[in-house]
Order: sequence, then structure tokens, then C-alpha cells
Amino acid sequence: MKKAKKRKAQHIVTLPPSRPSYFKILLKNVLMLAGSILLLILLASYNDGYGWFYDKLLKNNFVFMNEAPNMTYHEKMYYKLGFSWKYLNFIKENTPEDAIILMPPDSIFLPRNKKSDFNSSILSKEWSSYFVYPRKLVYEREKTSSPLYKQANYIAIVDYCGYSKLPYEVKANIRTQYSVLPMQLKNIK
Amino acid sequence: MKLIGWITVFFLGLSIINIIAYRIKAIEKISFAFPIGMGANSIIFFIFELLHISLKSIDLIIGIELALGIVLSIITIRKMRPVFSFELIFKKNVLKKSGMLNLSWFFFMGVILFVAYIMIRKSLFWPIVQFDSIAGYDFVAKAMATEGTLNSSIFNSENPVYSIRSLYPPLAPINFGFAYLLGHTSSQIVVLIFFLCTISSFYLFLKRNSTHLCAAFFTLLLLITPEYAAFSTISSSNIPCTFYTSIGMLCLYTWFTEKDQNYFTIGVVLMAFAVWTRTEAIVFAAGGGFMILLDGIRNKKKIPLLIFGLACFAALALWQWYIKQILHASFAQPVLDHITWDPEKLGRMFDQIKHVTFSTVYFGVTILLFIGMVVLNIKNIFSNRDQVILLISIFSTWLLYVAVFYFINTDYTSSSMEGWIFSGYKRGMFCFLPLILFYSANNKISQQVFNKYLSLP
Repeated sequence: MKKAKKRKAQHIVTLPPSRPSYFKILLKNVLMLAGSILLLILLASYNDGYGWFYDKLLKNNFVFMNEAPNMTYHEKMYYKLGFSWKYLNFIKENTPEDAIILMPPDSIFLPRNKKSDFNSSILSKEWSSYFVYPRKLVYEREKTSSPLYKQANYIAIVDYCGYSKLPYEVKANIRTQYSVLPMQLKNIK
Repeated sequence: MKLIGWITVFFLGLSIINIIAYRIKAIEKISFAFPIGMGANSIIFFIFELLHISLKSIDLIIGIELALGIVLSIITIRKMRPVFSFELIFKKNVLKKSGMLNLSWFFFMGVILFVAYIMIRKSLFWPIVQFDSIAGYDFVAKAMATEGTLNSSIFNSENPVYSIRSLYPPLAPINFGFAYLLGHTSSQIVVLIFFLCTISSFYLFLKRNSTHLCAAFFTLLLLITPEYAAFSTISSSNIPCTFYTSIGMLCLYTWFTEKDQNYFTIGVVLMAFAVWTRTEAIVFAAGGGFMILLDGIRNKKKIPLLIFGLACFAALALWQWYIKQILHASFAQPVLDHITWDPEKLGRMFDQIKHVTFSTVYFGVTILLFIGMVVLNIKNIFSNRDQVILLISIFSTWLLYVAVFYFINTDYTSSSMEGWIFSGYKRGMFCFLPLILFYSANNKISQQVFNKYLSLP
């Protein structure tokens, strides 16, 4: 009896779990892919944030970088920071490393009723100092608070302002709108 | 020199991980190596600074780091006796999984790689032009690389040119300075490395409990979060802080749920480095501390909490001491000097917080997805306690983070906002993104969708 039961049990074969057909797997795979692509397209189309990410951050930058692969450091800085950077770089290139440069009043950089070439960041001493480092800047507004004011050995000329601070005369016909000049003539680089 | 410098930092990070958390996966070690190496790098620079050794001695510093890495590696090899078998690695990790050809996974990974490629190119194409970095961390870095000390001329009392951003903890500025010392023209590479490590580490954490498809989808969601993506290619300390806080929290959560001591050690180190990057990361330390406290109460253990608390406090206190005693720098902190209850201010602040937090322009669908997932999982949260500790940690950390903004000395009217919420709060939210996406991917409903309906046999 036991032997018969054993023999019967040996004949019971457990079937492996049925696997979906290859076609079904492929179909599911393709449908999931289509869904994934559609999801990203919908996100980029109907959400301003993802739209901005795709158009501005990815596409525009990709196109720009491909169109201007040989842009120099100076061109990039001017492109991003405009005339403020150009002027500060001009100061850096035309003064020695130990120069203390007197900057004009804030109202000269950003006049109230006139369009300015500068952006408001130039009024920040920390920001401007970064571009002329290790040179030191002292602003007209620091006249009473900074001990460096009296030690300034260069003067930043902005919009023809600053010539009157020089101890020597600069003829009107050679004056330029933007410049940086030494307090003492012997300091001319 | 550049290559030697970065390989040394990577090697140092890897050897530290091998000493403190040998049992974690090799791929996780690779993903964490740079951030841990850069954290250690900042500490070695800081020790040099305290010993009055010029930080310009870059050859000496790299030599010491290399020697330290070799010593730690020898200790690891002697202690652990690892078996290197190419066949084992190949068979285990590649061949067994090569049968899985999920087209959606390939699509998401393709998009991730393409987006990452453009981010890398953009990051290395543009010079540093961000106001906060120029008037802050990058200026400190540049001066450090030129003068060979953190206590540079920008902190000179006669002509101070530092801002409050210059007084942030030194991990980011030191590594920015390290990049300049190696000969880079921009320190942007540091932010880029942290960004890539965040993405890869996040994928690996998601993959622990879910499918590759789920990990790829949620990693892509993190990568394309508009504001986070925009910041990933510009110079700031927010991206390094995002790595340390979020991955640190995920390590502690993994330790809490899986009882793997290796993740506790890594979590403590990452959280201490977070505080060493930005002071406000201390609120995340509190969130991580909550998990350690809970585990301590359950198992009657005090030591882990003590170690964690000491590590974070040491990072915070050391920098504050340095600012006061060495730099002699001060900047009027814009915080209230006494506790007041001002419901109108709170109302105005929450209006702005609501506007920023739920803005799909800033954070895409991530926040809404998270809220939706919490609502859908209400039953699982209360009956099965699904991810409840993670949720409590996220919400308690967020409340602490919001409280910090309440104590800022502003009334949040339109005339006095000063960008606290629209700038500071918004960037700080980056640290929450990996955590909330981790929950969105790992809750019961998502798991069911990805493991049952979106899996291929």
C-alpha cells in the first residue's frame, strides 16, 4: 500500500509557473517605454518649471556652447557681467598689485535719471574687490570710516568724474569717460 | 597636478570609508569617496592653518593625504583581508543581471546621462559669476590660494571685504581654494563633483529597496528639478550641503531600518561634514539625531547619540571659535535676540513659504508628488507604520528649518523681505528633495506599482 502511494506521488509533477509569452513581455516593454516618453513630454509641455529646464537650461545652453566653443574667458565674463566687469578688469590691468584705488560716489555709478553702463553689484565693495584682488578698493562713501581713504594712490575715473581729485591737471582734450589714474604722476604704469 | 590632486582626494575618501564602513557595497564606496575625501581634505587644510603652515604647500598636503590613504588602506587590508576576484565581481554584478532589458530603464538612464553631460559642459564652460560666491566663498578661496591662509587680507580689520557669506563654515571655500591651488581657473569643478555624487548615491539608495526602473525614474526626477538643476551648475555651497545632509540622513535611515552599523558611521561623518559646510545644516543633524535617539531608547544605548552629538557639535563649535578667536570677524547676525510671538509675521512668512514650496516652477512635481504619496499612504502609515520614521524625520526637520526663518529679524512685509524665503529658504529646500523623493519611491503603493505592475519577468 505504502509503495503504491509512493509510486503515485512520484508521478505528480509540479509544473513551473507559466511564463508570459515573449510577445507579451515585448509588448509590455514597448508600452512602458511609450508611457515613459509621453510622461516626460507632458511634464516639459505642461509644467512651466520643466519647460524652463528644457528650453532655457538645456537647449539654449547646449546651442550656445556649440555655437561659441572658442569663447575666451574675457568674452564670457563680459557676456555675463557686462561693463561692470570690463571696467574692474581694466582697473586690474592698469594698476600694480599694491594699489589702493579710490572709487567714485555711488551716484556716479548709478545716476538716478540716467541709464548706467554698470549694474548695482559694483556698489558692493566685496563683489568689486574680487575682480581687482589683491588691489584694494576704497569707496567715496567710506571717506570718514576707512583709514585707507587717505592712503589711496589711484583714482577710478567714471563718467569723467574723479579728475578734480587729482593733484595734477589733466587737459580736457585728453580726458576719457572711464579711466584709472595715479595720484602721483610717477606711479603711471 | 590637477589629476594627481583629485585622485589623491578620491583615494583618501575611499580609504577612510574602508576603515569606517568596510561592509558597504563597493559601488557605494565609489559614490561616497569624493565627498568624504573633500571633507577630510578640508580638515587637513584646517589643521595646517591652525599650525600656521602655509596652505600653498600643496605638494606637502597632497603627499600627506596620499600617505594617510596608503596607511589606512594597509590597515584595512591587514584587518579585513579582502579577496579580490575579478571573476566574482563580474559574475555577481554583470552577468546575472544582463538578462534584464527594460527599455524604459534604458530610456531614463539615457536621459539622465544626456542631462548630466550638458550640466557638466555648462558647469565647466561658464566662469563663476554668482554674486553670493564672488562676494563670499569663492573670494575666500581665491584669497586662501594666493596668501596661503584662511585668515587672509579680506578679513583685515583696516579694510574688511568680507560678507556674511565669507563666514560660512570652511568645507566649501577650502575645497574651492584647493581647486585653485591645483591650477584650475574656476572652482566650479568642486560643485560639479558633489552634484554627480548626489545623483549616483541617490540612485544607489533607491535601488536598495526597489527596482532599477524605479531608481532611474526618481533619480531623473531629482536631476530635472528645475531650481536644483539650475544651481547644480553654479558656484554655491548649497549643492555640497545637499549631498551631506540628504545622503547622511539616508545613511542613518538605512542604519535604523537595517541595523547595519556601517551606515551609522558613514551617516555620522556625513552629517558632521554637513555642519562643516553650512551652519543651518544643524537642523538636519537634529532630524538624524531623532532616529538615533529613538534607537537608543529602544535598545537602551546612549553611546551612538553621544558620538553623533559630539561630532556635529565639534564641527559647529570649532568654526565659531575660529571666527571669533582667529579671524576676529563679526557680522551682525540678522536673528532676533529674544523670543517673541508674532502671529502676523508668522502668517506672512507662511504665505511666502507656501508660495515657494508648492511652486512647480521651482521644484517641478516633486513636492506635490510627495504630498500625494503621503495622502495615498495614510492607511499604510497608520496601520503598517510604513516609512513612518522617515516621515517624522522629514517633517520635524522641515519644521525646525522653518522655525529658523521665524527667528530672523524681519517682518516679512513686501518692503523688508530681503529674499529670506525666496532665496535662502528655497535653496535650503534642496536638502529635502532626495529625502522626499526617496519616500515617494519607497512607500508601499509605489513599491507595489514598480514591483508588480511595472516589472518585467
